[in-house]
Amino acid sequence: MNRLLGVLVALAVVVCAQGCSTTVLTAECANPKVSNSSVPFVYLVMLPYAYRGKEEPSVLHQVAAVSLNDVAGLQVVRMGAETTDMHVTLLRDSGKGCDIEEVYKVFTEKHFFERELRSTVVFYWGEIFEVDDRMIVQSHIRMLWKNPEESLVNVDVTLPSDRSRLRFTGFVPYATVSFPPRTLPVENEEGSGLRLRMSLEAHSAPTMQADKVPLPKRFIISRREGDWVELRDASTHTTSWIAVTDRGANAKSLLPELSFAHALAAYASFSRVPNNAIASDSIRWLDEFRAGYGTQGASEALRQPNAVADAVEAVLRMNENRGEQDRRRVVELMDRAVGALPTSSAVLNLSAISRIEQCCSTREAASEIQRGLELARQLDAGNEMVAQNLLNWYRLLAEKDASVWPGTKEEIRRRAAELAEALR
Amino acid sequence: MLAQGLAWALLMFCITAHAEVDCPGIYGVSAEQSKNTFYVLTFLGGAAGISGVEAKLREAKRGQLESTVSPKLQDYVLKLARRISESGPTIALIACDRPMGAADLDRNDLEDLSRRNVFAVLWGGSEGDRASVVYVSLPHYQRRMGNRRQVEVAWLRAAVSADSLDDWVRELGRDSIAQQALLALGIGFVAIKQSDWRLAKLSLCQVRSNLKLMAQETVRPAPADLEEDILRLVNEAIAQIDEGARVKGLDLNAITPIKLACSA
Repeated sequence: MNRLLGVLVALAVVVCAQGCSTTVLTAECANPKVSNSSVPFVYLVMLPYAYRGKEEPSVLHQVAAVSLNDVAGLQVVRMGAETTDMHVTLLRDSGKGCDIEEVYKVFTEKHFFERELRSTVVFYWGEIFEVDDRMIVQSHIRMLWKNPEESLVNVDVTLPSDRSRLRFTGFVPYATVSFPPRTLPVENEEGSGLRLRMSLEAHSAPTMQADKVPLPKRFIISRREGDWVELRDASTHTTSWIAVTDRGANAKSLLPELSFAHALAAYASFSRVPNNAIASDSIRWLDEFRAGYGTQGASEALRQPNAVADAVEAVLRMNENRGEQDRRRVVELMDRAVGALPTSSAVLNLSAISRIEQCCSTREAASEIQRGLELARQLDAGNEMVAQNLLNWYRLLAEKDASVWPGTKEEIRRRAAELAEALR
Repeated sequence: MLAQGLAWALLMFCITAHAEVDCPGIYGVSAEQSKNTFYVLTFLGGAAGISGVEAKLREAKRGQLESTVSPKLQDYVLKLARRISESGPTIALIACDRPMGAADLDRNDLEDLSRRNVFAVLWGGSEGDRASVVYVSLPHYQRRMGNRRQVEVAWLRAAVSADSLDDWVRELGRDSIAQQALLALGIGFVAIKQSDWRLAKLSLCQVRSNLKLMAQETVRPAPADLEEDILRLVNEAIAQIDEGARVKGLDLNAITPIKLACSA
């Protein structure tokens, strides 16, 4: 059965590499769904921004919250029109609230909706806080890998002595990324403040003068024509159009976090089908995310998102193997990521293995790799990949000139023997 | 004697009533609702710069702290749980808008919080002229029954600026090794409570792996005392876990991630 599924996935991948469309489904948070009628490269599950506070929000803020969710939904549709083979689920609150941990648990349960989850999921959610005439918005992203092996990057090194191959494995820190809160002025009666003017309305034709029609509950984004995106109802096959222009809302800079979500979605696609076009897509979304913050991009509050963005870009460039310039860029990106997240096991491990191929002309260079791998192991002591990397490192080091060794031969042999025993 | 008893009961009533207003996240939920969720409780009220902030903004910032830190705590649970193909418990941060100090928490408070699934309490403090964070681990307390000096761990804040709600977000978001180790400690004891022997052993072995580095980051107790105390506590707990697993017929040492973690 698994083999058959594997063949189907492979077939879908081949077909989709030639251009698949994005499908969109709306569902309730209490009953989250993804479409299983196809095998997309990645699922993007978007929970609505939820109001948080002791009191009921004012009408002005309620309207603004609805507009914000519409802007976010439209941004997803716009991006979906530019992304190959993604399935989007737009969740809505049916009155019982939308809690990410509850939704996440449903996705990780065995026999998810009586079927296996078929692709990696990127979850996107956020909160809204009301403070007088301002709306404070905060967003978060989390990834759930269908097959954790797809999230890996491998660096193979051949041992000079017996030509055997040592494999070093890295993975991005795909834990939850929380973005700094942003303050959005809510439009007041005089019309001042930022207007959230985009709305998730469908039209019968690609013009604002055309009749408004209900947004289908489940649709496929079939094509984009200028500022309009054509949607095809998945059940009735009727078509409708929505405008994805900004019309003053400046949605890109309103929610650059969504560009980040798309970069991760493209990265998940790349992990399944590693090709330069998808890698470039992902890097483009990351650049769009960074540009969305403008001069605030270097702020302390963006430390974690920026570091994860750097690690993702480094992995994409490592896989592409574009040459010396890319290698230098990878080291630069990983240096930045380690500087920002010096106690992240995943980042330390990834940084170390990104330097393995070029290793090691000096003791300092070897020490840096060893320090990174040993700290990564301490911080994630049960991680077999990190432990195996460290063991491989000791084996590789044993074949290097003793002048670059960070410790004595006996010490390194002892550590290697202990680790090999634990890994047995 | 009776008057003393009544005064004590009245005082406890006032504390609890006040707490329900300031900590709705923990006092506003029923035991049934929070059955499978465990909490880290942060008291913010002592922070300079917080009392002057307008009430609605303060409430928003408190909410942001909770919604930023809670998923990070859960990530750590997931990181450990994934190693052994489990989903793990749900862990969340609750921020309370009231001051707190060591003298304000007595045995009754700690027992009450434990019953509400709180496994750690923290607040802002100072060590000399430096701002710090004081962390009280409740499982320690339960095992040591009253020896409070042994259950408090303090580390210096990374942020140099004045203590504020934004600093709390930064401080609890920086994933220092001490924070990771104390969280692993909490998860270990939560897992013992749930008789989840695999997660319990993996978590507590992770604590042992981080112990030396953690002691370098903390300022109280002294590094050697901290290491000795936690190591003794963890080793006792691991013996209990091994016994629990043995009764269930589980060979924890045959599970590679656990073997690796315990040998690190």
